[in-house]
Amino acid sequence: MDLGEITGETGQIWILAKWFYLVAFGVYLIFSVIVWRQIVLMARTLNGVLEVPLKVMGLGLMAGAAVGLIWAMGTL
Amino acid sequence: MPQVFDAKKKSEGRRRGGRYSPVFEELSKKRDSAVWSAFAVTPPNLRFETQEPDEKIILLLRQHPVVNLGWIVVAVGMALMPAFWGYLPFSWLPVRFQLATAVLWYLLVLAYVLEKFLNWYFNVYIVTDERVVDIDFHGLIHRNLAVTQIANVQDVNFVQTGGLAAIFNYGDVYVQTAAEQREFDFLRVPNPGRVVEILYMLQQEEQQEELEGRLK
Repeated sequence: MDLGEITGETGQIWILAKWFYLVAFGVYLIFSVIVWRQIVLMARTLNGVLEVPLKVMGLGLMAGAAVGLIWAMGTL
Repeated sequence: MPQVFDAKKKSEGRRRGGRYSPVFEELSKKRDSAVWSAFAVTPPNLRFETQEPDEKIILLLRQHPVVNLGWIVVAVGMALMPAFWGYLPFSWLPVRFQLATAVLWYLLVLAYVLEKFLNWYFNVYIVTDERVVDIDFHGLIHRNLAVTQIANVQDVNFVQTGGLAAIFNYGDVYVQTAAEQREFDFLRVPNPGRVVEILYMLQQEEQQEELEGRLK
């Protein structure tokens, strides 16, 4: 196997890199679900005026992670 | 003619909570309803998890907003970092991977900002007409809620150290109690002197209630 097969445009290193990015987006998605859950718990502990915007922000984080993951699966 | 006694206001105070609190009545005249406020006196539209139906929130405290300056600077630095990626050995990456790195980076910055903000916003100290409540979140997975009765409060003092604390008037308030949790620390809260004053007023009110046999 020469170096070109590993580092070329479709080389194995990029397959490995793709998996690295997919795992990163996946971990981020899990993290964002924890954040969302925590926002719900925090809002239950202390509900005030910022409850809705914070929940929207948490949902945005989850949506961002999900879109990122789908995009990475399709593009990388 | 000066109004000596406002029966309507007093009965409103009673009706609101079922129990009349002179301290609440006094402080609600100077109500502060700012969303971001780190020092909110009788904040309206706010409830906490273990609040009794007739319990009134006298004071809601957070750390002074200036303590957020550190992580805001870090977040701005992180957000600007991709502009300098040209100087780092990233250019050999294919464009799609560079884009994925940038997307991941900004998601990380967003998570960092959200986590720091949530920790500031939800780590609160609440003083009600009955209790002192300390709600703590450490990171995003640890939650601690400590409560003591005002009647258990023995001693209150505050410490203000450092240049920033002097400029922005914030400090640490220490509440010694006779309860299982010996001390409640309100760290880096605005107007520590006023906090101590309000706690003292509530202590006096509680003692008065005890003398009159009105204690719950």
